[in-house]
Amino acid sequence: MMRAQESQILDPAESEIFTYLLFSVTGIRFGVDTQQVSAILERQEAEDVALPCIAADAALSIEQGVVAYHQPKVLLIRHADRFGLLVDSPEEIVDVTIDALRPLPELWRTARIETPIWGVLLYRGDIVLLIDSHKITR
Amino acid sequence: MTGAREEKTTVILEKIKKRKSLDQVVDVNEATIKLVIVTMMNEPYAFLGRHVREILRYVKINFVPGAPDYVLGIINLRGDIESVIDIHRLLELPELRPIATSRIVIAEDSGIRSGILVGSVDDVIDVPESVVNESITTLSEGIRDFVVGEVVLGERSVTILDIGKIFAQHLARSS
Repeated sequence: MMRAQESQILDPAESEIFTYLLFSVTGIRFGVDTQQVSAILERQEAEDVALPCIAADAALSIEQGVVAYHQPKVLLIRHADRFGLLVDSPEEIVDVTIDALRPLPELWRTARIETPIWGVLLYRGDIVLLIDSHKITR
Repeated sequence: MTGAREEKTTVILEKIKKRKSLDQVVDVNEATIKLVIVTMMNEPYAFLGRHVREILRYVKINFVPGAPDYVLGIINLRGDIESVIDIHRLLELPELRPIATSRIVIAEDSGIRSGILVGSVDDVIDVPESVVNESITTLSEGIRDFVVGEVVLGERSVTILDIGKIFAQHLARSS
């Protein structure tokens, strides 16, 4: 009975599950909506099909000199303009509800920074930066 | 024994004297302002208390690529995400390397809320408005734009910074 009452007052949006693929670049954790990724390829596979690729450090403006990708993988981005995003070995795929998601602080919104990073996922006490791969400028 | 008692008495009298000198400064009928005294590069500065929401111990700041150079990153504050500003860069001071005494001051003004990393937070005090002077210290150009005044505490001159002006510059740079 109690459960029924709870479900009546629960906003459907709050129970919606969002699925993110987590990966790291230079120790910074990122997440991308799995709905934006159609496949994970080996780098060689991407090269074999001449898939245009952009490295995550360039796509996300990580200016830390030469970035080494120890276990490179290419995320095939589901996009009208087919391209791959080179990342270091993807870590895991996580299901979360909206409770775990946060917008970027006011400073970002007021600065009108053009970035594919749109928000934050709080996952196991860590901060994961969420990216919208469709906003990656190539 | 008597000597030790006299010494203690001297200390107490010194303390009373010190308190009294402070009392002379504070007139209960006079309007006061709250100041949060911080240290940056061994120099005392103050933020206006009305801008300060919280003072945090240093926690790991997560770098966010693509942010303006004066933004150090973000922190998780009890489930809320707060930005942290590198005030040293804004004031053109040498780089601050966080140490045990470092603090993050959560401040808010003009609809903007952000953390500000400082070397340490030393005190929170109320001072009469009358003791706040126009800044006469020779200040570098980088700092001058953010200063609202100066107050002398003991033998130290403390520069009062207006966080609202810092945020306003952020908005100006962004537009």
